[in-house]
Amino acid sequence: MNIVKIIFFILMLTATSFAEKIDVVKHTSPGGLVDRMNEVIAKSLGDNFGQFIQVKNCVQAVKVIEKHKGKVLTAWPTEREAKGNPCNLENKFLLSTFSNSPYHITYLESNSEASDIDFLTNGSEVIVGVWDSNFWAPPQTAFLQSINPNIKVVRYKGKPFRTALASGEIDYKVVSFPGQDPVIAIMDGKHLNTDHKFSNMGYSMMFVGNFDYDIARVYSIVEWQDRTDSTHQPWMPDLSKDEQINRVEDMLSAITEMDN
Amino acid sequence: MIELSLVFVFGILAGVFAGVLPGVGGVVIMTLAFPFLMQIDPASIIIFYVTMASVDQYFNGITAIVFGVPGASMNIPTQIEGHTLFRKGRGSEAIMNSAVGSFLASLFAVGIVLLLLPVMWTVYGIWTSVAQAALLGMACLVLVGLARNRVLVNALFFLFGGVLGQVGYSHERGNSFMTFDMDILYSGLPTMSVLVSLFVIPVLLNSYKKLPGSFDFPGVDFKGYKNTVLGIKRFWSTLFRSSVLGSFGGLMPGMSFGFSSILAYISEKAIRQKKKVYRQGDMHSLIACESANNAGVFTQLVPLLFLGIPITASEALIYTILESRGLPVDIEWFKSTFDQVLLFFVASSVIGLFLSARYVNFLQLFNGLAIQKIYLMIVVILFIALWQTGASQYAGFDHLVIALALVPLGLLVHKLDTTPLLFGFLLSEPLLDNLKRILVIYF
Repeated sequence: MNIVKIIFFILMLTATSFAEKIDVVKHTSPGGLVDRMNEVIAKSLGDNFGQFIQVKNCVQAVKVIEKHKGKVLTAWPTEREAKGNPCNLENKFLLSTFSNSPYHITYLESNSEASDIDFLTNGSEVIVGVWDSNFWAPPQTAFLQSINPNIKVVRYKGKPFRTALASGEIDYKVVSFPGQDPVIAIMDGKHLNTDHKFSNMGYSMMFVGNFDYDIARVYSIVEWQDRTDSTHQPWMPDLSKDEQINRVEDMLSAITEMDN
Repeated sequence: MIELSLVFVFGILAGVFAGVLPGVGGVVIMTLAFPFLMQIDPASIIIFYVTMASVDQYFNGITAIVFGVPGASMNIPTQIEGHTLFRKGRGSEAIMNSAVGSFLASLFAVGIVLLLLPVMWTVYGIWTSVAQAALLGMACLVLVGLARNRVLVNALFFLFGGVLGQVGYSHERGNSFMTFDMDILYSGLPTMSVLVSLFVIPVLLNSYKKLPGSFDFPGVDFKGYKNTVLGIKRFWSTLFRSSVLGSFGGLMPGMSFGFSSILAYISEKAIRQKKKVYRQGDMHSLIACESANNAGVFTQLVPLLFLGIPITASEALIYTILESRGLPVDIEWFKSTFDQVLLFFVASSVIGLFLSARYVNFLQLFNGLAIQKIYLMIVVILFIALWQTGASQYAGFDHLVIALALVPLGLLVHKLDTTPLLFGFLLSEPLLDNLKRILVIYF
């Protein structure tokens, strides 16, 4: 009996040590939102996690995902699937939608004028800062100007964006994670100009890889529950993969058409 | 306390490592140290960073002065003035003055921070796109006017540098520029590759025929500090101006102390030229950029510590580590660590000052070597460093290939002053960015 137990134990050990590890591709700057999500994905793999494959940009990440001999997973900003983006992945690598956070319109606490929603919707000189992205800035601009044609939209790159509110040159800032700044409105399709096609818009990510992996495992771990980017929620988890991809394609087409 | 002391020692070693090896900057060290930082106390993470960054500045300066190799873009002015002084046989003076100036500027920065803390948000109120564009515009104009070539050549170099800075895929524009469908170019040209091939190599080629400086450094010792401190009063106005610029540069997102040290250098050089006393190898200009650097090292922590705003890549990494470990990143917590950070910053400045003097003595080993051999050795070390620093950013081979591809261009223009090209590469994008914002806001 003991021999059987020992053989069983050895077989178990062998099976564990030869189980194929799963790698996670890191393709964005360390410390950013996507990078943090990739950390969570790695945690969800437990003992099956192999290593992080770090690449310099998303073009190199595409090559890893398409050609890697082992199994790989990663979080993937949705706009990369837009037409013309050099980081497009074939649909077969899109495992599911991952997370989405509606854009929040924030202001500086000491700015009493901006704390009144009427100023945003009816003010004669309102300046709103958005992240300088060729993909997201145009629909954000279209939506903001639909609620108040007097709104001027200014694009900011990362570092100056952080103190733009404090400098006083903008009244509001559009961000997916508001941090400590007070929020005047959320672009979740329930508050401002609900008829507008971009009233429900947020920063989103897909879950991609070269094998099937259930995203629910990521949502179930404690690191996901404790994430600091709490406005980022599971994105369309109840839909089938085909439905998710169709919705994403519709969204990307609507934005791309507007850009053109 | 034992953990803090150990972290302090590691921070010093990391600073020495980063300063001695060109291209190994704060981000590289923080990335390499990531697994270690994930394990230690949150206050220790901040102390590791501030110690490493502070010590790094002293050693970076020496590498630029003695070997003519700027460790980062902010050390380009140190290379221009300091290495010339070294070749004129004034290496000791350059090292001591820049070290003591840096130390005094660090203390000045501590004072500025203590003074401004209660009104920090008001300070940010003046940091508008107009203020940023004005400073950047002034820097660019002065640069084009002051470099050694004819103004037209400087302007063309600046524009060409700007074009090189645009290479890559831009999320802002939504298109690729000059990537030729090569994935190594999608992230743009790495600063270090451009710096090595279009600045360091031309400078070394120009320098090797001239008399090399001596690798004896008389007066670089503990006693020498006393004499330097006594003699530095003739640089007070330079020190004050550059410490103010460096301190504000550290505080301001989008400016960074790298740019402010360049600005401090350009301002000082313009003043010296106006007085008709500037010659390359100018001690005032050297002190200006070195002291601005060190002042900014401390003040750059303020936005992170007190406002929760990381303004450099290294700080973003610290912020992430704290967040991902569920550690507090609120302003109250940061305030509670401030006294310790202050103490360790001053301690690391003192240690950096004295260690760098000891390091200089080791450089006597180079005495007697032919300058060609030394420069050849520097180029080989630079390319290895390029590979290694690139490797820590997961693109070692890419950095090397891009640097090698740019070498012919560096050889072609080696008789000219390529600083406008380099600054065009670094400054044109933030300048255009600010101008675009001004157009939208005010017109």
